Amino acid sequence: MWDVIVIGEGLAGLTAALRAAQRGREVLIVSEGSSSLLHASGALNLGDFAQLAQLPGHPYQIVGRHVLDRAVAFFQDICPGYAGDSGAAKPVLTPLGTVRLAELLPRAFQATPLQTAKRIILLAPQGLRDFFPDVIRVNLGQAFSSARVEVKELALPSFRSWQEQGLGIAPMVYQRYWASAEGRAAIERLRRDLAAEGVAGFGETVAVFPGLAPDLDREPPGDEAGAKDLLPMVLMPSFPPAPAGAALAAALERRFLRSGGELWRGSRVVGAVLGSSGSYCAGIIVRSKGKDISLRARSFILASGGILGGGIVVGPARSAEETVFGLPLYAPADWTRPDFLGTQPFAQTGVSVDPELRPLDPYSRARLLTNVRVAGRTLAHWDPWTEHCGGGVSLATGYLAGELA
Amino acid sequence: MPDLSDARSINLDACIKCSACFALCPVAAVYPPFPGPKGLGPDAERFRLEGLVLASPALEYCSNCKTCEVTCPSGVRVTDFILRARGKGAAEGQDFAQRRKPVAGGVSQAEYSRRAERRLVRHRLAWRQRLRDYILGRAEYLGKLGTVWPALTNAVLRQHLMRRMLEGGLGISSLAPLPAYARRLRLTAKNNPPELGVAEQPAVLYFPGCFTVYNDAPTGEAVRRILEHNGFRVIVPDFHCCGVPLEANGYFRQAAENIRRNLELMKPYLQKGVPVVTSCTSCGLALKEEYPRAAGSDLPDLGSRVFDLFEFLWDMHQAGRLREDFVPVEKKIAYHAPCHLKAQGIGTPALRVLRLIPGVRTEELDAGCCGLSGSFGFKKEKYPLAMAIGRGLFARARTAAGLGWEIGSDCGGCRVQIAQGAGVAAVHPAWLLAKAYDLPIVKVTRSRDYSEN
Repeated sequence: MWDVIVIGEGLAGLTAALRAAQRGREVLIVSEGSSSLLHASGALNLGDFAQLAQLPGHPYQIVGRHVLDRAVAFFQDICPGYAGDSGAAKPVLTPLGTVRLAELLPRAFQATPLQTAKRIILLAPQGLRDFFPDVIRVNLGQAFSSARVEVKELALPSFRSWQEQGLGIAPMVYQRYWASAEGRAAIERLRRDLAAEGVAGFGETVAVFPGLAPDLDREPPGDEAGAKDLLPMVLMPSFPPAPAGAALAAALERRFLRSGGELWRGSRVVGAVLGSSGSYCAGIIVRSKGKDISLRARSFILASGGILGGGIVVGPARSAEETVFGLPLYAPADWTRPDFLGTQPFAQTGVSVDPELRPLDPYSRARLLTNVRVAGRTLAHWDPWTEHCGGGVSLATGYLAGELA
Repeated sequence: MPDLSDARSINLDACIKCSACFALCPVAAVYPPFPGPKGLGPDAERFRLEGLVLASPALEYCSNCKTCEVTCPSGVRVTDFILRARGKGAAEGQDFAQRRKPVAGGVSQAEYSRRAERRLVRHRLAWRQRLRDYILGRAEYLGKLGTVWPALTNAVLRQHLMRRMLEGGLGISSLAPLPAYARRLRLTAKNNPPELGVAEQPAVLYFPGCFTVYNDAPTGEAVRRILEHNGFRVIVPDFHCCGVPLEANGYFRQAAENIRRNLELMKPYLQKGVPVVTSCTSCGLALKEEYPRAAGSDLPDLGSRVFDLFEFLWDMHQAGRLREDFVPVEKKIAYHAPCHLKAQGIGTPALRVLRLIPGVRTEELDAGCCGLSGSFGFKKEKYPLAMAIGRGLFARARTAAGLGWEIGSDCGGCRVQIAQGAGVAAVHPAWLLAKAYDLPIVKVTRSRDYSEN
């Protein structure tokens, strides 16, 4: 019997599990597949807390500022690569070379050095898939108008056989190389060579490196004297599945396993066993090979995601169901609006919760389950895309759930 | 709420093309021409459903590690699609392309097939490779042959010249760690009564698997003693190979025959409620996945009666029935979870059970696939891939061993591959349990699991 079972291995689930494990709980994470972080860029948005906390039922209103701050600090402690000043939104590149803002970034992602650069070198590893140097060059030129942008191709001997066969190389494959001793040495050599040939003035030439995951285990060195002979580098996130997202997932998983947690990946949760009163969860049912297994714990954290993650299934006639406990969902009367990329009401669909993240009936507000907490996308009354707060809500609600479980 | 989980997984539309499988496929990471699980699986399956069998040689490069199935967030049975395509390819003689429907407005099907025949020769698996796959698929017969005179077999397989001949003639890598044969596991003679009595002590059916029977009998003995120590009578019918090597090499009919025969051997005991326990994670996966499919309504709850050894022991612990009179064992064990254990979806029960033993410290190596994947890594063209896939694991294992950790893994193949790649011996975790129970441990003569050149 575990103390806590976390359903879902996304950012909320992992954060909850890590916090619970840190507090000495025996924690199990059950996940249907790989973490949804594999499809994240690695840049996390916290959003405008003050404004969002005013929206009725918003997760920020429920958890409060203090929890968000503690969650962010907790996260930065686990991933020192994200350390640094938090709060203010910083520029980060998109995979097409445009710029957006995010509050919680690996230092290596911060695009600020590009704002003062005179010359931007876009490194183009040969054969890199999902990478469009011509488009990126134009976008970088527009975003950083005081700089001259040039493309520099990188041909690496390790990938010669790929190139000879005319095969594209996925960012995840390139990342394996960059993470190796040989790859790291190659990057350092490249930065040194480029710095040596560069124009005068430190910081006037900056390289943009696509498809390279930031090192999350170490706080990156600042721009002090030691790095003078290495060309400053800004990492550019990739399209999913992205090395930076995979690296974040791996870092969190590794820490979780090392703190004694167990992770069952590939097992879908197909149901729950409730106690006789109907308000207590005794166990969840996991579909393993050949049999369904009932797993017991003292408390549960539902972080199964939204429609993409599989936590919520939608059907014809605007039916929406929560797939583990069958919890009643808040769903707006009108689901869609004509502006495709605008605010869409269906994004608010999810589970309503009390101040301790325990599920409530969305209309009667009756408490449904006393030992289950909900975190992340599965919650109702928020929209990660138009509110730009996906990372923040996941971290804060995950942290609180792990704290209370 | 309707349970859609199975419908989703065999429904191609469940695949949302997220490419998680491709991103994490060990083979795709090291082998450029491999299109990856998504391409060979759900993508190509749409063509296959239309009758277009693209029996690409790339299909042979799927190592059947099942990482794609474990990582798929939508529950798609990716490896299933690929293996079935391989089977189709084998059945149809690996035709390059074969249309089932007549080509509209074009040549007749017969003529098309004739032309395809002439073109396909270079795409067919070479006869050597087919013979090799035939041989490597028959783990049971190799085992029976090899254990007639194990010392001689091992000596021959260590001969450099012999290995070069095998490589040139059959495409079995001269560098690959062919596991050494040893005295065969002999549990059947003593423990195979035809009938179970009425007032009997509880019994378990033990399925040791070919590696334990022919290459690593002492582990089988340890497993038997552990189960007996917990009050079980251990019954081991004269099982045939579970069928995984046959399927992996495309011999589905023969695998089905093995499955049928093994089910016949199991049935009388299963019907009396005796559970089946495996100590090899690949056999365990097959018994939980393929066997229930084959048995169908004959044995409707077969899957729920098959247990990995540590899964079984953990269940006993939860029921308060596991003997926990452990002697402290001061050991640090760095555990490598085999891919087929991950695919069983039961977590890492070995770690849970070992953590009950006072003195034992555990850590997970958590470094992905070892690369061997059964017979995959023995093949000449795949050996370098296997070694590249396992590189991360080898490095971690070496580091751990250097710090005094013992390497543990439930899969014989993984242990052989770790020895090959990291130069470090690995043990089945059952040994630590046997030590904790203070069981008379059979002395293991360290036969070399890899042939040196």
